[in-house]
Parts: sequence; structure tokens; C-alpha cells
Amino acid sequence: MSLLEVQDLTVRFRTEEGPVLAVDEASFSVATREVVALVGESGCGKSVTALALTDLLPRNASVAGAIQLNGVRPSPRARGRDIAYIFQEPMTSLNPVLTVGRQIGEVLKRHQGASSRARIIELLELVGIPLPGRRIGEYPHQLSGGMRQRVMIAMAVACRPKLLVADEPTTALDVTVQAGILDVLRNLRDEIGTALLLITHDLGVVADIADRVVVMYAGRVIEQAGVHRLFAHPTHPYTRGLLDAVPTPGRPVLKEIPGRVPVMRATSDACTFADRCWRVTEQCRSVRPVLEPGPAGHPARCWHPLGGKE
Amino acid sequence: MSRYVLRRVVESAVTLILATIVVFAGIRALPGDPARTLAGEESDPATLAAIRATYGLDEPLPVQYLRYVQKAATGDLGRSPRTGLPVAESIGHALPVTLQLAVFAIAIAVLMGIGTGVVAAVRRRRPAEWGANAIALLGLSVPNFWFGQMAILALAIAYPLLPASGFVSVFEDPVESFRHLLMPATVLGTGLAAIIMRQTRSAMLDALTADYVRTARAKGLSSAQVVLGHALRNSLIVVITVVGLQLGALISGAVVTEQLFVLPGFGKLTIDAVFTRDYPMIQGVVLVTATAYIVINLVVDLLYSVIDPRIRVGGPAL
Repeated sequence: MSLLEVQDLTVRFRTEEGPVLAVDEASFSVATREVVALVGESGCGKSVTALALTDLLPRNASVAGAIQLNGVRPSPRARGRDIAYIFQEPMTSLNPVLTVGRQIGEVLKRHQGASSRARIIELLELVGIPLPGRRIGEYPHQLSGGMRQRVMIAMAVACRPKLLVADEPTTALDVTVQAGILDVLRNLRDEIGTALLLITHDLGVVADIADRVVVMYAGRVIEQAGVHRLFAHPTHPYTRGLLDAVPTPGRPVLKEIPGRVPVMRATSDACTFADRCWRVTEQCRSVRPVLEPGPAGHPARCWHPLGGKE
Repeated sequence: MSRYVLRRVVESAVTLILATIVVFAGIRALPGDPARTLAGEESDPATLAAIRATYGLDEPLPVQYLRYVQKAATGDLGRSPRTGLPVAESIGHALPVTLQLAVFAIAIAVLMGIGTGVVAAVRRRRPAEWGANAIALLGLSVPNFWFGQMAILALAIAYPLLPASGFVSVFEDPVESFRHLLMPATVLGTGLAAIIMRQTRSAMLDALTADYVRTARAKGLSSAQVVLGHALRNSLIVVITVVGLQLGALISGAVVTEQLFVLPGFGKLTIDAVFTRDYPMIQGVVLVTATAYIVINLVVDLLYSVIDPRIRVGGPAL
């Protein structure tokens, strides 16, 4: 059985410009110790999906669908204990007026009843922070971006969560620092057996670390597959577009996907990608495609999947 | 840290010296002759000259200034020609009254202001916020003298629960002191409370949407820990600034409040001194007021560095 099971997750926001459908019946799962990448452009509903897992969305959001961790719906107490988060902006995600040690200790105290200096230092060591005994008393502004992200990770894994949700953990960092952070995440999976739900739009990161990929577009899951299969046989035109937009040696021109992600107001009886797709037909605009195994054998939500008969 | 403190202390000292010059020159620029006020309108030149000689008013201004500073540095603020008492002694009697009133008023204002401000931010767009906003609006728009009179009418006359006037020091009888100061301190503190409430509310609204608050919630902390430990702590720097800036208004507000509740404080002393052109006394009270301002500013700046470590170690502003 999988560790995390998300079934028909739907998230709506009430905004001043009207309702927004951010996630539209998304279903996916994460197995124990598995690294699953949630991929898509900005505005596809990836972060909203992640926050919805433990009810962290703002008050104007309404969430429907089933979320189960080991077969039960995660309680608010599961936050930070069973499901922990790392966010994109290490610069602003740590509290500027509290020491690093205090911020890590808080999690330990909250979920394990006690925190000790030794345990905090151990955690800082685990995420590869040099001189942890000194860093423990420092404030976030005294650390570099990469160090802050390591502190975020130390905080997140303090209680050995079953699932670590990393929302664009390397996007704000330099490339060399990125590699270090990915190493830390990989080690954590190996050392404490944490599963990882990695949210990113960087397919390089996906290729580096993920076991499986879930592609989202405009709130819907449109394709999922093992990482090698997805890179070798993208089935949905959107996935293909994402892969084409990655710089590759020997291919001088990058292809972009024309247009931008639409803001969905309500669920529609059409493929949400229809307006940007080069294979679009009348069927795409009038009937909602279902997520079903495509020509390459893995599920995709497309009436005209790639790799089939052209 | 220590370099920052040293720099602020030196700056404060320079400000204090400038303040003495302004006070000294300002009073002498006012129309009116203290010797004539003292001797009466119909006095003869010989009497005036004698008075001027007694109080050193016949010397050149720079000499008068230096003598004044020299004495002030040793705690001698001169002798009031009106009362015949040393200025320092009169101030020494009046200052504790005002200080106790002000401290009590600030305590009330901070408790009420931060409390309602936090509630208003957390319970946004709900009745609790509207209630807090309405109280703040009332606190800002109702003048002290009217509120004070109504309070006396209600709580001292219609329902005699609290004394309408008089002062008892907290060091003599804490309970009686509390009873005597509760009404004036509340009257004096409501305006400040309203300002603190509004600042707290807006700072908290900012803080509650900050990334680090999302992190705190994602860590599974309780609402109280998130709101008080993370959001409020970051909002306090704004609140402290406002309190520091408003203390001046509190001192002038104390003048009115002291008159209303017949408290023998600094405000009453100031008013009496101004009306009688009591130079040494005015100099004394203004000097003490200016010193109070400068010290408050210094304390506020040093408090910043306690609350916000980025100021303490001179880190980059984010």
C-alpha cells in the first residue's frame, strides 16, 4: 500500500475576481521511501496541492477529495511530525528574529515534548552544516541562502516525518548550492527513510532525484510515469512541450510552449491544454479527456497521445 | 553590540547639549522681562537692577548659559524667583507623580492596544475586528478632557467607586495609589492604546501572511505559538517605534490630565512656571522633558536591537 494516497483532490478559492479552481480532481500516490516529483509551470496547482495535504491553505480555500496517510486522514497534529515541509524561499521562510537553534527546537518540543542542544546539533550535522555548535545560536540573516535551506530541512526532518514535501527547494539557490541540497535530500531518504514529494518546474532536478513524475496542468494531473519512461516516452503534448523547453547540448534552438496557463474558474468539459496544443481537435474542446494508459503504457489525460498512430 | 550602544549614547549626549542651547535661547527670545514680572509693573529701575543682579540676568547671554550648564551638570537648576525654592527640589516633588501616572498609562495602553490589535488581525472580517476597530476609533476621537470629566461624573460622583482627585505614591500605599491613578491613567492611556492597536493590527496582518508564519504553521505549532511567538514578535518592532514616538504626546496629555484630576505633577508645574515667566523653572522643566525624550529614544533604539537581531549585529536589512 502506498504511504500517501490522494484521491480526486479539488481546491477552490473564493477571490475578489470570482472563484478560482486551483486543483481539479487530482489523484496520485507516494509510496514509502519514494521520491515523486510534481511537475508543471507556475500556476498549475502544484503548491496548492502540497499545502492542501495538511490543511495549510488560506481561509478562502475550500478543499474536497480524500487525502490519506497510511490509510488515515492526516490530522493537524500530523503537520511537522508525519508530513513536513520545505519551502522555496529560504530567505523569508525562517523567522528573522529567532535563532536557528530555537526554530529547530520548537518542532522537537512541540512533537516530542523536549528538545536538547545535542539533538539540534545532530540535526544540523545531518544536513551538512559546518560548525553546528556555533550556528545553533545564529540568526537566519547571518547564514547564506544554501545554509538557510539546510536549516529548513533540519527543521523539517527533526521528527523523522514519513513524508517530506519540498516546494521548489532549490529554485532560489545557485546551481552549485542546488546540487548540495539535492544531495542532502537524497541522503535523508536513504538514512531516515523519508518519502519525498518534490514540487518543481526544473526537469533537471527531476531527472537527478525523482523515481516517479506526476505532471500537472491547470489543476489537473495530465500524466504520470516512472522518471525514465516519462523522459523517454512523453505521452501528453504538454509533457513533450516541457521536455522540449529544456536546454540540451547539440540542440541550438529551444522550443517554447506558446501561450500561458489559463486561470480556471470552474471545471470545464474540455482539455485545459486545448488552447495551447498543436494537436487539438474538436473533441478536445468539447469532451474532457480521462486519465488512462496511453500508447507507452503509462496514464495520460489526452485524446491524441503521442507515440500512438499519428 | 557594544559599539552600537556607545554610538547611540554619544549621539544622545550631543542631542542633549543642543537641547540645552535651544531651551536657553528659546526662553530668552520670548517677549517679557522676568525681573519686571517679579517686581511688579510699577517697580523702579533700582529694584529691577537688584533683581537682575541677584539672578545673574545682567550678565552676557553666553556667560549665563555656561553658568547654567555648569550648575545643571551638578544637579543645581537654580532657584525659582517665584517660590524661592530650588528648581531641582520642585521638580523632584512633581516628577514622581507624572512618572507614575505615565508608566501606569503606558501599561494600560500597551496591554489594551496590543491585545485588541492582535485580536483584530487574527479575527479579520469578523465581529471581533469590527468591535476592536470601533473602540480604537472612539479612543482616538474622544478628547482627554471630556473623557476625564465623564469618568469623574460616572465613577466618582454617580457611583463613587474611585477618588476624583489627589495622589498617593505607589511606594507608600500601592492599593490607594492604584485607586487614585486608575482613572487618570486610563484617560491618559486610551489615545495611545488606540494608536498601538491600529499599528499592531496592520503589522500583524503583514506578519500573518509572511513566509515564516507559513513555516511555523507547517511545523505544526499551535495557533497561539504561531500568533504570539512568531507573528507578534516580528510586529513588536513597529509597536515599540510607535510607543516611543507617542510618549511625547503622552507627556503633553499628562498636563491636561493632571489639571483635571488635580495631580501635583510635572504638567501643573510647567503651566505655573510658564504663566509667571519663571525662567529657572521653565529651563528646568524643559531640560528634564528634553532629557526624558532623549533617554526614551535611546531606550527604544536599544530595545530594537533586543527584538531584531539584524540591527544588533549590523546585518543587511532584508
